Amino acid sequence: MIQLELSHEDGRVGEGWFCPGELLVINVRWQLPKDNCELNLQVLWETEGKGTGESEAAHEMAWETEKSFGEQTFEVLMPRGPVSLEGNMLKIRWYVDCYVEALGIKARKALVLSTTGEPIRLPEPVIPEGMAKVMKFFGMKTPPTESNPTT
Amino acid sequence: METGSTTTVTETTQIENVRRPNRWLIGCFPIAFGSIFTLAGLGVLVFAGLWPLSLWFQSLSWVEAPCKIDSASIETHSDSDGDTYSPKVTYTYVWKGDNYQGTRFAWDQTSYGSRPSIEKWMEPFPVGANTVCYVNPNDPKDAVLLRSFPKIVLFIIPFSLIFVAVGGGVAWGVPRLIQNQQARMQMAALGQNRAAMRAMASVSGTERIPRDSVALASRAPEQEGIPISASVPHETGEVNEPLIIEPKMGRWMNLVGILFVCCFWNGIVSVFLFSMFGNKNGPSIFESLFLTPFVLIGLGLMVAVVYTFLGLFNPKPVLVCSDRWLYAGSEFELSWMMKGNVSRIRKLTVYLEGTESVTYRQGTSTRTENKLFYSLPVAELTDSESIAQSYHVVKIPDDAMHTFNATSNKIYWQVRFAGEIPWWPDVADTFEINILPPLPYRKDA
Repeated sequence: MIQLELSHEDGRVGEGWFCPGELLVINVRWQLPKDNCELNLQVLWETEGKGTGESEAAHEMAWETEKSFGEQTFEVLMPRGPVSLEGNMLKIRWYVDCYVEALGIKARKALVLSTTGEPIRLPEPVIPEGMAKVMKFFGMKTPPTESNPTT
Repeated sequence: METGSTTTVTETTQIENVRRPNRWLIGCFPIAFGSIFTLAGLGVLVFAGLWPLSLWFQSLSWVEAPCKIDSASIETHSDSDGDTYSPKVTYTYVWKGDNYQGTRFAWDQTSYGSRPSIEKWMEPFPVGANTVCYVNPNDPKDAVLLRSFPKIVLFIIPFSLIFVAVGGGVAWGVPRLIQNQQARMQMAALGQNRAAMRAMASVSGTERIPRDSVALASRAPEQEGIPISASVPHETGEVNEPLIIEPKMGRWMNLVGILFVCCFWNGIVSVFLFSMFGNKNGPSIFESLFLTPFVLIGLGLMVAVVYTFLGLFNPKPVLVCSDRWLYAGSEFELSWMMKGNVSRIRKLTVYLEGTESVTYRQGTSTRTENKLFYSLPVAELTDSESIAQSYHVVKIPDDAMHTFNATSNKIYWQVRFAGEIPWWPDVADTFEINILPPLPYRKDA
């Protein structure tokens, strides 16, 4: 079993969102079936949605455990980006992963990289001008949206 | 209103001052050089190509007359390149009872490097031989011994046309290339001339809210230890200066791309068409119906090639963005100059657009899907003066997603120029801009 706890520099825990460039404090507690295992920790982003999934680790650490249980704290600076995103086809999500590959044990904690506390939400897709003309020609309605003042 | 006009004139003067470096001499050189080439080519084309061709054509209606060869020799012309030879003859002919003397052997007056070929040419006309020549009935003094087609023009005409084309291209194209380059440099200068740009902004009724430079400085990027992802643009240590933005895809690249697709598609379709029409019994109804959509797509592609080709001649925007580093919520100054005949553009709309793009596998094929999530008309212009050059302040939305450029997933921002030209392909140029992620958090900020 692996437990992850994410906190801010001032000790605040539980908000789950961090600003670009902010210090992220990761506390890892583990209790494994055996001694001498290699633990891996990653702070990474992943894309989800319609496109082929991609991911990139901003920080990666690995260490050997002498005992089957223990605790360790890491401090890393959150990158500038990509910030968390909830798009129409693309979502970018941040995670902290800790795992023991040999034993198939993994723990994951989601976080939000943002300046506001919320992921950026993209507005509804705008109908391109050409398409709007075609739709108009065939009498279809293109309701105006906040993001598309042109329609 | 009157005050507004005065301000406009003042600003125009300011901008003109920025825009006119004294480089006319550089532009004159290719014009002079190209013009000499063109004139030389035209001279050869007319006097050694078209003129003999025209005389030969006229001589087809000349009348045959008996003549006697008085003298026949080969003339040698010596110069630094060696000897060349040409036929020299005199002959006497009778026209309506009067005697005339002619000296023109053939319409091809060129001298050749091979003496034996001239000898062979003159073989049928030894001295004292009685033969026929061709006389101009309107001017009996004008005659030719050999009325054959002057084959040399088949070489001279294309050769001289190459000279004309190359010379014309240099004289016409190079100054424009220089002018375009100058326009870019001048726009860069204009971009740095913030006073002129701000004044223009106030004339057009928009006022840029300057970024809080103190706040910006206090949040200056301190990237030591902060990881950088290759999929996200970052400041690269360069000064935040005006930036000339290149089109996302050049017009020529568009044409080459569509031409390639057109050739590829029609090449394959034509194989089936040839085999179908090569059949003795002709195409069957089933074959015809099956191939019709493919042929129609091929025809559509051909139309697209022509459309894209014509679009090459549209006015072309040169775009300057006042800031190299752009962030969500920031404002920047967008100025442009249209090169070409802008009076043809009926309406120009400039958009700031944000697009989501994802690539994924579907079966065996790879698909890319784009969705526009933000579209803001920055400017809608109908008067030629504003279309030719203008300046606008653009605000990036506060909650805008920054540029993201992973392999299969992208968020990109662009400035799109859409110009309506009646009865002609519209102006459609896009310029990609990079919106950077938020500046890093500082505890004391």
